[in-house]
Amino acid sequence: MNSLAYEGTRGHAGLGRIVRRSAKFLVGLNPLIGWYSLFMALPSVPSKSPEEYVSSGRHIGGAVGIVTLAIAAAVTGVLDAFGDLTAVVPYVGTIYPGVAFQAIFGLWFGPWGALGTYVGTVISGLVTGMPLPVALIFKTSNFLQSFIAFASFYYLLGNAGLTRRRDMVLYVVFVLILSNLVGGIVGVTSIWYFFHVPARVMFTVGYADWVISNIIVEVVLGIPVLRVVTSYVRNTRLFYGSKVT
Amino acid sequence: MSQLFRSFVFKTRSKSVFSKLNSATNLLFYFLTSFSALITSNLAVGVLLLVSSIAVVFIARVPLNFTRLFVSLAAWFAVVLGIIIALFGENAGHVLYYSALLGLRVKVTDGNLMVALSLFIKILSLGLFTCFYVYISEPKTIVSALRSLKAPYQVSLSIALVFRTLAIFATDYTIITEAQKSRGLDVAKGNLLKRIKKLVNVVIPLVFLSLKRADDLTNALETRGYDPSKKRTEYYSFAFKSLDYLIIGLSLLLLVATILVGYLGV
Repeated sequence: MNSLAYEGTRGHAGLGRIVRRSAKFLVGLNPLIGWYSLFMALPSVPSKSPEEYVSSGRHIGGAVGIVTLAIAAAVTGVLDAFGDLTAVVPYVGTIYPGVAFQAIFGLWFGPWGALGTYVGTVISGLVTGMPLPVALIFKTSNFLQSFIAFASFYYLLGNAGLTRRRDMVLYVVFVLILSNLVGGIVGVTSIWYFFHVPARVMFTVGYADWVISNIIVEVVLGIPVLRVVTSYVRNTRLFYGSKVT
Repeated sequence: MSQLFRSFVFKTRSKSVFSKLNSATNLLFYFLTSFSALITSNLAVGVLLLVSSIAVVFIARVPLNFTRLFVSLAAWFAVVLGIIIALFGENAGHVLYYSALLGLRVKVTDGNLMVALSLFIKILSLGLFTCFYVYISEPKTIVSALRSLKAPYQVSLSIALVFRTLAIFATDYTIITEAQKSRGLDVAKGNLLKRIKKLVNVVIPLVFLSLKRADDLTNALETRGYDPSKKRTEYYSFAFKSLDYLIIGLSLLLLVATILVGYLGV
């Protein structure tokens, strides 16, 4: 847990230590309750005035954009294909870390990251047996999930490092809930349409499974990665100029 | 799935009649035939497409162990979906079994069974067509197919870079996983939540590596004066031959016939 050093606790060493220790205790006590408590226990970053959150004007394009797309696609593709943890039914109800990276790449790399996750998951789907016409439509759900994450943080001035309580609220509302609800509708509808699965199964159990499994991965994997790596990514050319500098 | 992925990235292909075709022809043939298989709901057309897919896999000289991977995945998917349709489908027909327990209605009709059978055949033929295409295609042929189809250079360059980096990251992922295992962190052990949490220790190094590689790639592109807005000349030409036109024509004919039989009842 020490690796999850929280920027906001700088200058509040005592408080930070108490927060980390209590979070560590709670995480050990019960994984789900612990992670939940960890988020809720985080203090806010010493506030900046709204004027400080201005566009950095570093929107990427050209060679950087193409490379960003390729890297996002490759990482998503590899995690999609290799990291499958519970492939009970192929393409339906699987838990894999690639889901968390759809949102993460959207938050870091903007539309290039969203496009990259789409390309990566289409290719990964193809080489792992999903027919191309299905993959092209089914994987738009992944694009939407990634794009919603990007758009919400970009236009609502969120910080991808999740350093403030406000960022965490944005992450929960838009990334965990809204993007999965929207992506789930597209994904479940395409499976229902192409494979004639009964609507009363697909739009109840299938949909709930999609949303819940994605939320679990995005909580357990997405939040630590965003908190640890964002500060590094922000200093690279690949980072899509967030409005929060 | 990772086995399929590895075999796509690292395998060597045997020569067949399809390797003589333009790569765009193979892509169009795969797309049109699999789209025909996808949209058909007619059992007879489905069986015909299944037979065609078996023939295509045979002609392309796809090894049996490679085909088995795809067929087992497709069969697994088809069986599970088939059971769901058979038990919970709403297709009309003679009722063979009915029960309603705690609000869960299970009705097995002969209509449901027919749809389940049709779906099983459809998924198998789709799996075989995909198996054929993944086997005959190397990453570079997919890129040259896009160039033949006049896709913008940015698109084909992006896809080329994706395939190039896929192989690198697949190796990186394996190395990191093995390195963490040697330190006592086995991602495959523990309950689901523990396994996801352990993955943090694999994906963070992977992300750092990918960012470093991205920086190298960007520098390489920029030092070579890459400019997406400039018009480019081609070193290779991707001309279509008469056999290519014949294959594309037959695929289109198949698609039209499927639509006519399935939707217009011709």
